[in-house]
Amino acid sequence: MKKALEITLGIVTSVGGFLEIGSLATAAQAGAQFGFQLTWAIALGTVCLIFLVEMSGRFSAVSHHTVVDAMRERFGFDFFLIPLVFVGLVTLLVLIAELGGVCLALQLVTGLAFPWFALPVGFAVWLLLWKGTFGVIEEGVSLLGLVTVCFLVAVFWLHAPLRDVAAGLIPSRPAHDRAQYWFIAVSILGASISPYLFYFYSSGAIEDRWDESHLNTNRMVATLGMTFGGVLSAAVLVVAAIVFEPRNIRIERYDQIALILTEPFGWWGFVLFAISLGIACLGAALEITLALTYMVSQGFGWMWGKNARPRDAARFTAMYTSIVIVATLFVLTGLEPLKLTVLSMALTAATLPIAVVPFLVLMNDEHYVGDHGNSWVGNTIVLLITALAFVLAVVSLPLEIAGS
Amino acid sequence: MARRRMSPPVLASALLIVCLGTASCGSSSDVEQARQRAVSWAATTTMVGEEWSAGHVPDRYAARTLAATRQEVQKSIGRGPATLTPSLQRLADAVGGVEDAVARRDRAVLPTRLRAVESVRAALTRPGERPS
Repeated sequence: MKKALEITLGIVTSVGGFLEIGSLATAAQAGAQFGFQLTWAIALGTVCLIFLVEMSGRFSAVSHHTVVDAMRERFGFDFFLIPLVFVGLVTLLVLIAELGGVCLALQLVTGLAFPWFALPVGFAVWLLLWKGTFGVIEEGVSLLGLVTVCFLVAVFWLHAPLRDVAAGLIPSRPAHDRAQYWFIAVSILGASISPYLFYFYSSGAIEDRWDESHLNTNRMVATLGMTFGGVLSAAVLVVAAIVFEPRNIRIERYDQIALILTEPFGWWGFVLFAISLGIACLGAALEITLALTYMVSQGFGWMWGKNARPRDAARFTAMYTSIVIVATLFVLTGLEPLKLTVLSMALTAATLPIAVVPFLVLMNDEHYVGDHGNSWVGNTIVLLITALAFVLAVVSLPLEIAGS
Repeated sequence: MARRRMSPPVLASALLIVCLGTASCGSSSDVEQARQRAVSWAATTTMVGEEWSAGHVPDRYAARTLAATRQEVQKSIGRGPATLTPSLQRLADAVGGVEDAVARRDRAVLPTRLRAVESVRAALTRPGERPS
């Protein structure tokens, strides 16, 4: 009974915590500009994420190491600096976008420009991190994030042509704006396969004291939670395709996306979008700040843990405080949030091999995982999708930057 | 320790396919891009106006979104292709008309203002306005 409850809670929090500013923005852009044609990118990203999250949970449950901790131990500190710098910087960009997302949600509701909310939102994030335990942060906000299920309800409300949506699962060449098509595809992949997600999940498994008895829980949570999360992301794309594409609206600003739910739900649609954006981004901002702090603390061998008192993990506490301050300062400058979001997602895809390849080596190292190592299927799928995301990012990023 | 790596030929083939695909596609012309963006701005204005009129979005949201849209149109007038300048100028005026109606909370005049936006949009999508 306890296990069933644990699995249910894990799946529910995974679903509630899946959508964030990157998946929302990229899915809305994709749907508005290319209809259902880019659904395959969400499916591919979700499949890769299922494998990576399952692997990271299995790794921590069996080895009692976090991924970062083991990476430093296995490859040495000098090598570890490479993922720390690249993944760390890109993740910081994503954090700025998430904080910006919370501020934008408040802008939608109040009409005040989003930079006005940077300081209060930054303080609220810091306070939640200071006062909250790992369970509160992970489960509390994720449960609130279940409001994003409204996108799935909208799919049925709008009588989405499910056969056409299914056809989008097969990759096809676009009829127009081909460079943009591939750039959005890579941004979707970056939004789905963010390294911070499986680093965070691995640290969470250690915070929750997982052992081998949690392997089934891990498999169920990773598979079902991420699958339902991917379905939510696809729902955003489908609703955007139905609402924006026939009107020829291209998504260039977040205030355009705010109209996504008004067609099915009227006034409540606007409110639901603002709440979804705010909660999804708040949850992601908390997770990303913690993921970055875990990464630095574990990399430098500091005392870490959200369940420890701040005074017992002083450097850990100082680290997340600094990260929140830096990100807040960037939001204060009024950076164009949508461009930052999409760019940070594409950069995430470009840095994926740096985060994923060493992790796969660990997942095949008997010293850590014993006989719970990866199968060739898992290795191949993750490597192929990572390589595809990387190649697409390397090719489409310069084209997009030159184009804009 | 079992290590599995993607073989170089597979990686090279994937890279080649993507490079060829993307390079052969190229992007639409600047004029076509500018035209599509203008159509999108017009459509955004119409949708915001209609949703505001129906009471589905707050006044301040509608005012802010319309102001941002008008500014984008105005910015594009100097930068965009000369062939689109008259249409963009008309669009900026039409968006400004909707913005004005929302600012004065004048729902009665809104349909006329939205028709002006629609007529610019229709002109932008007519073959004569499209680059050959």
